Amino acid sequence: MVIAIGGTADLWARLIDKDQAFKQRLNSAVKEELIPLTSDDYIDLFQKLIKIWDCVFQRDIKNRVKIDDVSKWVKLIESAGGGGFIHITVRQALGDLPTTDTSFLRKLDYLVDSPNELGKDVFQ
Amino acid sequence: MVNCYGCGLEVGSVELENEHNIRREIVMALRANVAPDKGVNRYFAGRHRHSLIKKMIETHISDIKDLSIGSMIYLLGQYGSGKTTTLKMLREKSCELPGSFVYSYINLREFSQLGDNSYIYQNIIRNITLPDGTRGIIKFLDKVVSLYPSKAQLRSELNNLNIDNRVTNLILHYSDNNDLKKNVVIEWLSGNPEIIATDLHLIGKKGFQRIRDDEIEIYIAGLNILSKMIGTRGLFILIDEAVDPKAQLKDYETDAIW
Repeated sequence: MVIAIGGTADLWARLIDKDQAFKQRLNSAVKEELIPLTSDDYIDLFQKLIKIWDCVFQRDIKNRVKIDDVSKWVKLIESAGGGGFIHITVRQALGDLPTTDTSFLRKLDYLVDSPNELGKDVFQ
Repeated sequence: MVNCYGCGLEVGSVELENEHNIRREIVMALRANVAPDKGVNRYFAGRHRHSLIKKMIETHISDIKDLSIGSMIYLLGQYGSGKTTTLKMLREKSCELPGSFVYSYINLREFSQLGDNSYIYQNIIRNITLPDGTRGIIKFLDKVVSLYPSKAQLRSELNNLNIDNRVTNLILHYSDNNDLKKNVVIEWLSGNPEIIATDLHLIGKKGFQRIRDDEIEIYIAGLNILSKMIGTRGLFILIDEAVDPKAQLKDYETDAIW
């Protein structure tokens, strides 16, 4: 049997307060920390998302965003800094922000369709 | 033959339609900033570098030494570090791998009665899902009793497996051809606090009896053995987002695997 639990340590401490045996198991548990994603992970993520995007919107995005482009794009975003989407993505790429904050996806669609000053260099 | 340039599947095929539906759901979920219920493996990235998750994805969850019965493993991570996505990925993998699991995935954020063990138990039972996606404790118990042509054979097998008498008796009552009895078994096993006291005698219980907090582990352990009886590797329970809305400790969260 395997049980996976997500949540605050505080809550679980209260839940198991009455159960000493369970508490002992918790205390003796192996711990593994989820470390922030790296830039390479984000490239991997973008590649996969672009593949999904291609299917859903029937746009051949991957032919416009080559693997190298994605790499360049991430690096460019990292170095650009500041403001909205760029800021969020920079922080994500640096591991400051949650991976589930996927607001950059909304912008990706816009960016691909209407390259702005940043995207123009990358997506040409 | 024309193929989709995104996924390579033949245009017009059922497979393509299914695949595109999953991908549409992924995009919709990500736009809402939540992990999708299906297809996490299509965009899962980065977590393969974690030795435990890598093992769980690439080998088999029940083959991992660290995950022997009774042991517990925490996955620690900040808010948004991918704990839910990882849990959903593991749920997908638990069904895909050979000899898959019966699973129950619950998200405590959807509930209002946090801090109540019996409420968590009720929701674990309510969300029990067979590897083929069939959901519900009724389908699960139907599958168990259908394996044995007679009640005597079922009793013999349950005794051989050393399941607690409380669970064994419930299953035997369920195997009787009596819809009212079946219903009472389901209500009891589900920990329903609204169960009608006067019906409890049908399954050998007294009025106002309920599953006690200290019995929950016994019933879960029994369901684990029953899961193995129907040819799976056991019961895989995933509990996500046990976040106390009042505590607001969003900066530090814990995932544990038991």
